[in-house]
Amino acid sequence: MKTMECEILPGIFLRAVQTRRFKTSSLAVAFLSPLEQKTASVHALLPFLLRRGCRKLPDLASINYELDYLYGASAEPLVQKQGDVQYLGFYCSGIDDSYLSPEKPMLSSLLELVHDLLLEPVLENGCFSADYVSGEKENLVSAILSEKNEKLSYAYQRAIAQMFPNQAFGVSALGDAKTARQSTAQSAFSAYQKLLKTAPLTVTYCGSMPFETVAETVKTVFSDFSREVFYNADCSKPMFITEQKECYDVMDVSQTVLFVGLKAPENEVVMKVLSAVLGGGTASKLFLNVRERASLCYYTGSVYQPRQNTLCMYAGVEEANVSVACEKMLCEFQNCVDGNITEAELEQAKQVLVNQLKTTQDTAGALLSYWLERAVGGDVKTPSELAEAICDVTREQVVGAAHACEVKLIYRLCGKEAVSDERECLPTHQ
Amino acid sequence: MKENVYQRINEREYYTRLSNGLTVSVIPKPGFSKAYAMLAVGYGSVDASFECDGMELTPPKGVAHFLEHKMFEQPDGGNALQSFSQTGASPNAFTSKEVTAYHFSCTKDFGKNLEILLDYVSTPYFTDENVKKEQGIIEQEIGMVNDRPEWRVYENLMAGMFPGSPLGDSIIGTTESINTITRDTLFSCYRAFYRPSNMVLAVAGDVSPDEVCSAAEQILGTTCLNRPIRIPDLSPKSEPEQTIVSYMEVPIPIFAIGYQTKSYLAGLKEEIVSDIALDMFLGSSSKLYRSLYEQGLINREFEAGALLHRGVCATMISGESKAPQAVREAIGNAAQHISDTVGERDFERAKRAQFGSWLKRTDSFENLCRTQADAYLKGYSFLEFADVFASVTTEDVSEYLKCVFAEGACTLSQVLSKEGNA
Repeated sequence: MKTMECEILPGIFLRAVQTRRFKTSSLAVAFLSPLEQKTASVHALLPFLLRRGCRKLPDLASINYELDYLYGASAEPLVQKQGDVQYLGFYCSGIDDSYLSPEKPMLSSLLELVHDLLLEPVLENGCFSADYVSGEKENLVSAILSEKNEKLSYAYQRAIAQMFPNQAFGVSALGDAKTARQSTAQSAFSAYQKLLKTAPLTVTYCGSMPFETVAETVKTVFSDFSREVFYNADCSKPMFITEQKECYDVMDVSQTVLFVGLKAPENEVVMKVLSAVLGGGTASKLFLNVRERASLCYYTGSVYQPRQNTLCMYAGVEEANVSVACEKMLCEFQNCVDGNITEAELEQAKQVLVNQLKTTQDTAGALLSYWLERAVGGDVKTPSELAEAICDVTREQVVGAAHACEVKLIYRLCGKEAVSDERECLPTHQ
Repeated sequence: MKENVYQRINEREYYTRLSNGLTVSVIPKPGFSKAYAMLAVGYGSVDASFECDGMELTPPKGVAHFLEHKMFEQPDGGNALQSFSQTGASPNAFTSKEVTAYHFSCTKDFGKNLEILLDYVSTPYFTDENVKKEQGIIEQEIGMVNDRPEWRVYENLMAGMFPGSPLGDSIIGTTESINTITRDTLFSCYRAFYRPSNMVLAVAGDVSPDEVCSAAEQILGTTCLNRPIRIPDLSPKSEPEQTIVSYMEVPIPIFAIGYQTKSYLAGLKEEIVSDIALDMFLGSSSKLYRSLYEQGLINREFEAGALLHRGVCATMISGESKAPQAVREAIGNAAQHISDTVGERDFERAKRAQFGSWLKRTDSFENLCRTQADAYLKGYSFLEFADVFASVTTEDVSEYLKCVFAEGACTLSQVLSKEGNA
């Protein structure tokens, strides 16, 4: 498996992994833009809007028809965030050429389609189609509001927002519904034009084609798109809330989702191991003690985000048990600070991480996501290199990292009957 | 072992049925460091009544899922989850309407992990105390899924489509039903269903098929017991409900529309025909999808699929809509002209798209093993799909669509906002 990268044209960066392991090749093409509260929603609208039609394939049905003919290939809107950088573009996958006898290579077909979607949208009087904007705006607002349907990820998003008030790190990738509702064809079109002028384009590919072929194809397909000046996409330093905070959102739920948010030191490799010791699977401290020994929950674990330096512990618990669950979670964290980590716990945590990373190399979608996340942040370790670095982490380093963590937030997403006066109820979020 | 070669999709399979009755399928993946194994038991929530030691039993609802949770605990006080962790393997399990499956993926010590899997699934250890403890955990799981609108809309749909049938029961049971489960209930269900003759072991990876078989024979024994005796009637006991509404805090109503019919095809062909047919009628390139999307009645969450259970065909269409009733009417109206849907060019388009989608599934070890295990429990092999695709005709698709949409009973399940956003 060979990974190479280079700047193909000014502002167009390619990273390609050559592998013959999969029957599918996958491709992500995305603009990178600073994530900001005021532009997040209008930016998030763009991939969905551009997916409605381009000059050659002017409506949704004709694009879908073309993709079906390419043996069910896909080109789906991609909107995601890493730290305070927003990704906007398309995620594609298609059957590798060796399994079919297509008229032309799948890679060229998909890149040409993405080129047309990104750069040749359907325009009416020099602006986006008002019909398309109104339809996709409504869909975006629904998608933002529907984030509430997935309680765990919604609670995580809300917890992160509380740790970074008024900062890009706290903004969701799709932005907020209120700003989304204010988007118009004009505001979307001017955001789009600014993106074309200033945002670097990142192309990530995993498939059987050699790097040189992919580079040549990208260069040919995007030869008409080159810029002189573009934004340098990188995450800035996250600024946490200064005081520890306890707060909650009220929703119509029967089970409370509890999050304990911590500020983590900048050391990705060691923090990954700490997070795994704490809540990374079925041998972790949280799983064994909060679920198995105390029967307090069905799920519990921890999640570490290197580009915003956050470590969060979570569990889904009955409201009556929130205090005891929270105490137990903090107690398990304190055990890490106090050095109560056995050699077996450390080894198992490392094994879980190494297994995940090796598995990443054997899974098409996971490999693409791995490299796409690393389009920002300067970390260019391959999954194998990261696995090696994890194996070298010592117990002292893990304890040191736990010492450097700081509890910043205790957050609950809870039912109406659970309202308490002692903590701060957050204003209704829309 | 028999070697099956599937040239068109570049797969091979070593297949056998062991003396103990276990079906084994090993799909070699040379050069991969990842290996995956799934031990699937033909036992799910639809097996509500069955015969055990000559007696008919109807245990509390949710028992198959409860049993799945309890299998991990071991007589020495240990837990199989922790045994896997020592090698870094990633284990899990699930229960569906028809199957309970235990699986793991790993990147080293495959043989040792396989032994752990076979060993814990064949070592039941239930005590009053550990059953009680699990009730607490499953109650929290029930709380978690009940807070998910997608789960609620699906559960309501199945209950509405299949009144009085175990197909309409929740896989997980209810707080009340799981609290009546005892260790004796678990032992009875275990004895009836956890027999090698009612299991499939599906493996993908760079592993030795012979070693897989010898481990399975050594740990599961060589005795072959009869397959379990099910009480098979899954048909609804009364007319399906037309509409079911539930209220939750949802920003946009969620719906699931189900059409219930008897199967007229069987096996792999039925699965493939239903995928092609639904793509033509409701897929993202269809006229109906385009019209619903452009009217703002559906968004990109819209999808359709069929659940095929022992002679019953449940076709389900789900999504988000501000007007679910209007979506149902539009589908009903389009169904009146169903024969217009099936043109040659569109058939070719849908067939290509679905073939690509089936081929993509073989890239995932998890999908590959799960689909193959499911298929063998139903009596066929998933890997033969390329040949079956070639045999499907426009007549098959027309017949399916007519059978489902013109003659099937239709149920609409909706989850609406308490503030009334419909």
